[in-house]
Amino acid sequence: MWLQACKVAAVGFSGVFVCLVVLSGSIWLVGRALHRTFGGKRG
Amino acid sequence: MSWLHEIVLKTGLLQLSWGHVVMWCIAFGFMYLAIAKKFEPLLLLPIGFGMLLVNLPLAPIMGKGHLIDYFYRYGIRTEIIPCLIFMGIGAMTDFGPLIANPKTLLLGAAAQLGVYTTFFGSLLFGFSLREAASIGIIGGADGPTTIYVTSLLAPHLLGPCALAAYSYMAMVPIIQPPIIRLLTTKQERARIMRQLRPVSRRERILFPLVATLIICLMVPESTPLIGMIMMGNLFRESGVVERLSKAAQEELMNIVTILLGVSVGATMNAERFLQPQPIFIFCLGLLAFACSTAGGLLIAKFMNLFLKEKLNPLIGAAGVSAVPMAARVAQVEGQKANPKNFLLMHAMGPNVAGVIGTAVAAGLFISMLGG
Repeated sequence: MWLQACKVAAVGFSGVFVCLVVLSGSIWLVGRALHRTFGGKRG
Repeated sequence: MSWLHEIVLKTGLLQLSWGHVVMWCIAFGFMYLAIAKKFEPLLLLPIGFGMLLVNLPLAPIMGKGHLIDYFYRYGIRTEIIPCLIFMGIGAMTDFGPLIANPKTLLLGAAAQLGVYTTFFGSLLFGFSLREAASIGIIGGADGPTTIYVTSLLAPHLLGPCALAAYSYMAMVPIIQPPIIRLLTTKQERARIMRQLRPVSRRERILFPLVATLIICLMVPESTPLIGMIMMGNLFRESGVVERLSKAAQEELMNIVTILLGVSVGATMNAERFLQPQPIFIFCLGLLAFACSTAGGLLIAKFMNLFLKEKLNPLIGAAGVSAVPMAARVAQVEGQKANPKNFLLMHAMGPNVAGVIGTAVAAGLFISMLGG
């Protein structure tokens, strides 16, 4: 059981990070693409 | 006299036990907190009343085919209510601060530390893997997600898990400040952050679409929660379906809150609730909240090692997704350290990131332990 628990926790915690890092990068890229296409102020 | 005897037998008086009376006291306590102290009244009032109803002996309320049993079976066990609540949350949430500063998503991810710490803690207390996941998710500080996961993985723990999640969410202003002061210096808390950039309407509209595609492709099990929150947010940001947005935020949200509250309360009958397990769950829930707060704070400090424009680590504590209480705590603590510090909008980014992070963690638990 403990081995499976370690697997669940390792996959889970790293999975949350990977997912949110990819989302974070995508939001940044979309913002940048919109800025380049349509202009406007960007921080 | 036999007719009188029969009538007395049909009343609940003879079936009354001390356990029922204890549960009444707890229910009255909840209703008192809601009415007199205005402590999460939207939830504690229906939960308290549901608890009272289910602890009335012989009352046909939660047995098979009875009124609240229908709410519970068709609303919660089928996951409809938590998902509808997520749609309402999406319609009410402004993701602007997160879009303006997407790196705050990492703070929301780190604040899931409490989920996994408590997962192990629960195993040490003798809970099974599925039960431990349900208790761990309390650390996400997200009531509907806790209910969603628990109803799928450990439905018998639904009452205590939901109650622990909502109680601790209400107690965020009490739980977080000591941990914040322990892990940060006054200088760090006083740090002023640059004002966030304005976010265009196009970005706001694209955000729910991008987030849905990315998260649901990576963690398909989180689609019901993420899909609903993002649909609600698209209603809000599109600006073309104001009626739907308003319905999701108000009428629908109010209806499902009533059904949720009364159903959760009605799961807490004396036989089930007055056991050692719920007490363990409450202790573990507190550990979950504390570890999540610490996780957010520590990752913010870690990110500062690499960032040119430093973050105020207080916003990391807001990665605990209790929206908007955790962000308010960051604001209050920031202002105590420096009265010119305005952190609320900065803290809203990790705060809503925490909601997304918890939904992803929930999806991962379900994909690995469900079925």
